[in-house]
Amino acid sequence: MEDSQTGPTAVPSRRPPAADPPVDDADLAPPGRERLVRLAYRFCWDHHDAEDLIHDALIAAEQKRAQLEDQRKWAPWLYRIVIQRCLLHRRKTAVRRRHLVGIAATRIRSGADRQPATRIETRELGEILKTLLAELTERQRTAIVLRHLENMDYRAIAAVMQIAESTARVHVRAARESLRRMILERYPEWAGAHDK
Amino acid sequence: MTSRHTDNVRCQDARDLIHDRIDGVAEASAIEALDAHVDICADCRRYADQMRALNDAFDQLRRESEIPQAPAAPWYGRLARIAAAVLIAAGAGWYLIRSRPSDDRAPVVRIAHSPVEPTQAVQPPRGASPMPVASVELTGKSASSFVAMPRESGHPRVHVYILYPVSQAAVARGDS
Repeated sequence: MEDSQTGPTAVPSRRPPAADPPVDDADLAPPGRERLVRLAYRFCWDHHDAEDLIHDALIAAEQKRAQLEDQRKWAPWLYRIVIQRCLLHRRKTAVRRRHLVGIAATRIRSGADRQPATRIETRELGEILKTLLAELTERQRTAIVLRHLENMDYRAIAAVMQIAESTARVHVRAARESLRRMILERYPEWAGAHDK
Repeated sequence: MTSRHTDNVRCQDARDLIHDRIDGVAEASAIEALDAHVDICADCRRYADQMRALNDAFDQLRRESEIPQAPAAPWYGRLARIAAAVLIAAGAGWYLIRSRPSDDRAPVVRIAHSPVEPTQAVQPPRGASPMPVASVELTGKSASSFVAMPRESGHPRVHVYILYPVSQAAVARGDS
């Protein structure tokens, strides 16, 4: 591998990931119920399931709150409980989901909902992402949902996932890469969709 | 990927920068170099376009997955709900008042004196002997509005009284 950082138009050196400063969990504001329901929905894509998940998660969290040594960690701890339950729910419903994913993929492929305009393409891609997110590893899925759907910064993601910020970046980038690759494998036409 | 173009930018670095740009952490000079690179590198241009499309799709998905807030009810809607609540409360109150046993409507009848002891064995009197009669007293707010009039029961332990309103007591007494 050549070193290409010396030319006149070389990419300014990307700062090497320095040792992450410790993430202060107190920075993360405690989420309200509505936000948690929205988060759960973005994992399971079903409003009723999301409501049920949050109902159970909040009860469990309150029951175990006394066990939390540092109450400042309540917010990331609550997020973790919700995410764990969402991932568990996904595992339990994997069979049903695979069936629904198949139907959704068929619908998308058949072009039944296709309408003119680029915006529809983006919307279709969103529907495809919904199904493909379920196929990521749990860490990648959690990281990319928090980054792109919950709009969290990497510091917050790191606090929720109890990992370093640099690791959170790695998970998000790996998730983007995986999604891109999966889309190209299943929708080869997407490869040329952006050629000018 | 190690391919290098005339701009001396490695494709792998360019792709890292594409992610940085999506995350909003790329420096201005880096973006400038990246743009120059993707102008001459078709692979990285396609990669950048695909990542941008992914990012746009996530933005769209985020907007669509916001849980819609229930629209605020108009003032007349709130007024209608309040009126309905008042009507329901009033109806329920009226029903409870009507169905509640009230000592305003009938006095309480209590035996004041019985001619027969509870443990005493008694037989119905024979012939024309008068039946012993217990005396009763009425209590409650409406006690003064009623009169308890005895009736023949046929057994010394059974006392039958009929409550008449005071206004009809004379008529009832005349009938008896």
